[in-house]
Amino acid sequence: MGAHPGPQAAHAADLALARAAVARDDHAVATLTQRLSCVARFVRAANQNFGGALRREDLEDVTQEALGTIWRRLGDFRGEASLETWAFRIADFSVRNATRRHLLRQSVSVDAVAEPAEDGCADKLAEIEALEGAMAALTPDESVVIRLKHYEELTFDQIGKTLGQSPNTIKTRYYRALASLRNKLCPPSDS
Amino acid sequence: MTFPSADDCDRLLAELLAGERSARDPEVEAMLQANPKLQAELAELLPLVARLNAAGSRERMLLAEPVAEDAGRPLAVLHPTPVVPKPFRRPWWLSLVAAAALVIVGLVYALGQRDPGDEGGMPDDLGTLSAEELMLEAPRLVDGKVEFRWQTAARVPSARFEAVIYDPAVGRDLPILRRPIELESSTTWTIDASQVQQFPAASRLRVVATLQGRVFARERALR
Repeated sequence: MGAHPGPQAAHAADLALARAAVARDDHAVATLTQRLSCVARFVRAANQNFGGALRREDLEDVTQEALGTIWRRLGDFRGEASLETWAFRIADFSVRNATRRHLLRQSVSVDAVAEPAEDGCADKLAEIEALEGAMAALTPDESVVIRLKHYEELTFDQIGKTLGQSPNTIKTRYYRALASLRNKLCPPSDS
Repeated sequence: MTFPSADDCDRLLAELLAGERSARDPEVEAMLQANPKLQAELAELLPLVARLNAAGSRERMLLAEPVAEDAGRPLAVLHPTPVVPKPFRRPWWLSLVAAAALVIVGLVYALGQRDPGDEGGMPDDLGTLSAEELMLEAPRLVDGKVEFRWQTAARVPSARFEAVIYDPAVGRDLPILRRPIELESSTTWTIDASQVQQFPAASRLRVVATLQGRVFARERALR
């Protein structure tokens, strides 16, 4: 059986850029700053997706919060997704946090007994939170295969090339990751 | 037909769930009929795969969302020093340093609490500040207007300043007044004194400066 090449970052240029920015290369920092201007748009889009629960001022704060997290965690970027996709996930997470806080404030506010405009927002948030929470509880090896398959829409062959493993190994990992995810979402009962 | 191994079953399930192989394939059909456990596992995991597909589709849709025309001004870009991950080793002196850091943070906080109206403006985010790069001057009354003025240590042509007045009791998230965006390159903000008098006594001025992509925030008591 032929050896498989080592992992090749699907977004090697982005990874190089992130590493250069971590090393405080001025040009890389400037390029990345420009690239990350999309974060404000991601925050707005994610907010719209939750029914626009957050106001414009909140969105500015959430964007700043997301950008802060992105820069702090830049060293964790591994090039498995594009920088924009990676940044989106952090922005989406920040919006979810802010939306959850907003809904919590509303639920304790006497003035806001019912807000029909945000009907369904809590359910949608809960659904995404449950899935993302379970995904976060997977091992990195498991979650990367699931993300590459369902979020990046790669084939098993492509995932294999990205992670430097055979397609058969990836298939096994994928199935086991799914089974693990199912157990985290719906733990098997003792009986 | 040879009975498939556990690994074969895992791979077949993966191919079926990922849509890379059809359940109508006669070979697959035969395998599934011969193995009800495999069939049950497939049926149980399909809804989860549908959820993942929906989540992936949502992410792709939001990533591709066009830039809204009413997007407004670009937001300041905050980038404190990125953290380089390193293997963790716990040296013996770590606890001492952590304790000392806690004491220093406590002192800084206590000083800040005690003297919120510090003349130079109080740094409110130690993670993004370096010393004296943004200074807030004391407000001045000029012709019935209160003039707030600040300065940076170095003159930066593309500097932007966001300024708000907020009530600490309400929080910075809900400022009382936000400086018009058209003035973002200016280092002054003039407000009618009569208006300032209506602000709560504890109100504070907060200025966030973006200097060559770096962000500094300072604030001071309004009065």
